[in-house]
Amino acid sequence: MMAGSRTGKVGYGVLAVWLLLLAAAPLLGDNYTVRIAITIAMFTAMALSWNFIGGFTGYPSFSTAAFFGIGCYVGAIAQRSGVPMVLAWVLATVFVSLFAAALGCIILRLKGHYFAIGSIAIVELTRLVVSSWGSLTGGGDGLNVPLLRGTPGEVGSMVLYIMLGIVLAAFVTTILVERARLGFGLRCIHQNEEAADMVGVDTTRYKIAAYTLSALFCGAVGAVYASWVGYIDPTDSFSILLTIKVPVMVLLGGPGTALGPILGAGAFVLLEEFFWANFLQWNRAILGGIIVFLIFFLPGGLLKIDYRRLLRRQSQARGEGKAVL
Amino acid sequence: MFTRSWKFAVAGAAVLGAASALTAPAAQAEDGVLKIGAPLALTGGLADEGKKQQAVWSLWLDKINAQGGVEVGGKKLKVEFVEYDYQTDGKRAGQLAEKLVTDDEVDVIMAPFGSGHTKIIAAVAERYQVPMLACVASSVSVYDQGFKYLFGTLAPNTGMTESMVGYFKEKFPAVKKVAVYGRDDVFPKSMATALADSAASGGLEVVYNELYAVGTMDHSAAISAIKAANPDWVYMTGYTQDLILGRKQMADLGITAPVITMVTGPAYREFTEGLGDLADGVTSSTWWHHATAYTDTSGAWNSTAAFYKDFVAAYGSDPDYVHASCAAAADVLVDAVQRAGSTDKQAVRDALAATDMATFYGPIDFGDNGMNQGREMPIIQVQGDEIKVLYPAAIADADLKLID
Amino acid sequence: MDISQILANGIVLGALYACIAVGFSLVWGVLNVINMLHGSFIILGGYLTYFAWFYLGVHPVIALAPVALLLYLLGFLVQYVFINKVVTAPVLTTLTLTFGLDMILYNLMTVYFTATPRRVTLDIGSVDIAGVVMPGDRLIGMGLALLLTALLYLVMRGSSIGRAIVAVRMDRQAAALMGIRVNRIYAITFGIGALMAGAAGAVFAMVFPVTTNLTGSFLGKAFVICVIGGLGSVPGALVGGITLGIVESFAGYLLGPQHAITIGFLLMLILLVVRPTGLVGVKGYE
Repeated sequence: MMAGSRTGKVGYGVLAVWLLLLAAAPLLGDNYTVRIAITIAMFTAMALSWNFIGGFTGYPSFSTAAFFGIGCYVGAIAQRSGVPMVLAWVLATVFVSLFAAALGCIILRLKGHYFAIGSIAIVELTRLVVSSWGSLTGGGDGLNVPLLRGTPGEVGSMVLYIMLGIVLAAFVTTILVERARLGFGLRCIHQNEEAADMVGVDTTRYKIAAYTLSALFCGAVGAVYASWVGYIDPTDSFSILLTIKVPVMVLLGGPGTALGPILGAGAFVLLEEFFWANFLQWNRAILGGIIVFLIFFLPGGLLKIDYRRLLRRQSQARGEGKAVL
Repeated sequence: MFTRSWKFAVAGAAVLGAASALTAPAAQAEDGVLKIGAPLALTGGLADEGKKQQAVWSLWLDKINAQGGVEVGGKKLKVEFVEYDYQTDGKRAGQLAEKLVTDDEVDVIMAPFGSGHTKIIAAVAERYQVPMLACVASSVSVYDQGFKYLFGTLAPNTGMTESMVGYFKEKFPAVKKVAVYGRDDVFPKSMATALADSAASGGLEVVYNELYAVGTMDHSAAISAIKAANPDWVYMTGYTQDLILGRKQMADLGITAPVITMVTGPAYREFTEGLGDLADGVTSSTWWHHATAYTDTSGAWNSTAAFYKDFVAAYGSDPDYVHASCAAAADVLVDAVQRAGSTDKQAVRDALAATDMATFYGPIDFGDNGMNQGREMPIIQVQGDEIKVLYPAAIADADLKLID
Repeated sequence: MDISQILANGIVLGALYACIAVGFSLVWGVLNVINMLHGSFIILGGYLTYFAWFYLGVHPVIALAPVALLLYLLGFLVQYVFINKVVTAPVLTTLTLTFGLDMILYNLMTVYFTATPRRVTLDIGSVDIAGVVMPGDRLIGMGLALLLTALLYLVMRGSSIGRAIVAVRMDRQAAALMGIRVNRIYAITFGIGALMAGAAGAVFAMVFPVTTNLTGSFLGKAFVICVIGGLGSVPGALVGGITLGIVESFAGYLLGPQHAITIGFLLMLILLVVRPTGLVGVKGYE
């Protein structure tokens, strides 16, 4: 699994085309298309983020929504206090990273199911805290964020480029980590944590690094999202659905690879677009069905299917059929 | 290695294909049609309310189209609703609002149930300068962003609480202590806060004033504390399931306050059905009740009774304020378009701001922040099997009954 | 304010909570699968009980047994067809799978049952014992919950199936070597988990309004209780449930009802870090 995980030249090529296509959305389509492109970019960044802790290290984290939500709120509160927008975003990113690092020290000691539950509990807990701390966060009323200046088209394009910037940053970080000792160490932890420890990998430090990386980009995305949408509230910012969708996207594409999360996020969002536009009542069930299908038939994600062997097997079967006849 | 990247290429191409399919040319704007966009929560937590909106607009549309449409600037325009289900998800709400404006090119947007999602869609509408009508958002905080294109048919909460305090003091002079218990959610919280303020300025003692978290399944701790404070009046806010549970637990734990108000429980059939006998005596304020008797009104129906008759004939059950407010919003919109003489968004927006209209739902007159000006909101009470209107005196058909 | 009233509230609530969690705890402890469907199973049980009461006039206490049985069959099926295939897979896989299945069940319920809150109106009134008021239906609910958990405990201890389940939980390979058909035990265990969920749903229908909006809350409570009490054991679920009930009750009184739920989660997180096996539990899977 580990050896062939490097991104080939064709992969880079296709990635570049894909990113360019997303960036060209304002030219190719209308504002609604741009919105979809933004959503794809957002989830791609979060999927790449999750990949650090879930894909490389193998720790099933469900904290994505907590990081996203905190990013939203810190960004929003900063902006309302007069901090200039871009600085607010940076502030949010830094805050979320520190939060994740601190949190990681505590919950990364857990493993398997316990870690998973702990990470979900973080989402609920942050939501409840934000909800109760009315004086700071507006509580259940939500928070207004000063609207971005500009026509919808301008605003949309700007947000799209920023999100794509975050995606690039996340992708570059992924490649760097893959090639560095950190990546190697995380993979060792994934395979056998105790053995890694014995071999001299500083498991605690590496895990915290991975967890922090998994939070950083989500925080940035959250802050930019809050500025874009103009209004946030606890329920939508700390959405359990979001926190489940992101790992599923990575599972769909191929966890532990650099391109997998990008493929998975893009495919997932487009699939969802296609489905809920048409099947009003059953969209949840269809999403559930996709997940079930994914688990059973695509255990390694789309990237791990050996299409050549599949085709070979098919033609073989046909050949055998003829022979029998 | 090559194989994997190749797969990525194929997958990427497939995805590109899908993307280009989605960027198909947008619907052409049609002359001769008034297009109303409506993102609704037809699935998810707020689906019940979303379906109510859908139901009443369908009724309204039938009535309008039976007349051949509406007359605007000398031409007859057909009216069309474009609805999408945003699944009670904030992000989707914004997305669909944008789709309605850019793809479907609607002339106006109707807000869904729920203050939070209304705000998100309002931001989109404001950016595109598309007029927007909110028929189920009454918290002042929804209208506090300074938007020029947002209008709401429900009157602000504070008016309701003041008239309620005044009414109870008059009818139940012995009332001294009130306990306030609200759900920590935009609308219920604002009602609870508003009442605590109105009660305090009305000279009552607020002996308990707390909020409960969304998702609370048990209110016994709070209710025990309320019981210990021995209030004459208990005021609870929340959504139907919270209020049903709360009232039940109040009875279980032995609360004996003569006045119990649950906002806005009695306004909904589900509340009285879910509680049975326990609903008896519960009061509430509401923006409208079908017993209110407005006559000589403009719009699709010329009196409350006419609306009520049509609704019952079509759906076999009573309409509540959600239905009425939303139908009235549609009436207001048509009225504005007619006064504007066209579907030009800016003109319609200005016409909306200048609205002063009597509908079967009551008078509509938008204030500076876009909200319908407060007027005397009805106070209702469950008495036996029926809902009685206690206030204002002009339309009251019963007196306050104390719970023993 | 009367401490004993708050305590009583907490205990009655806690017994109900224990009923929610015991099935969940069993599945997690024995199969090492977190069953995200659990909340939906409970609500399904609640809906079936409501419909039996509303359309057939059957009292919930009587409906409990058939509803529980139906849920058992459903659970058995789900496990056999879907979950069996991934029982040894990593956490992420099983969790996501059960979550996906839950979405399907949830969607089916919201479409066919709608989210309107339904309440079985029993109007039993209250009981006043030494100044402490306890609502009648909650008392009955508590009684049933305790009865069911006791029954389950006896079955686990006494019957051969029960002992087989415990054996599988302690050591899967050894159990297989002893001739136990592990896959069948898994299916039965999951079925029992669903059965208890259905029974809990029936009990709850008497006390709370039933609506699909609550599936998440029930699941969340089950998590918290399992961590507090300990996995895979009936006494653990009982201890966890009652502890949570009392904690929420006191937290609600002392800090305001807003924070009652937060305290529960905080307690769970603290225990996860400090003592993941829970107050009572035997070491669960890592």
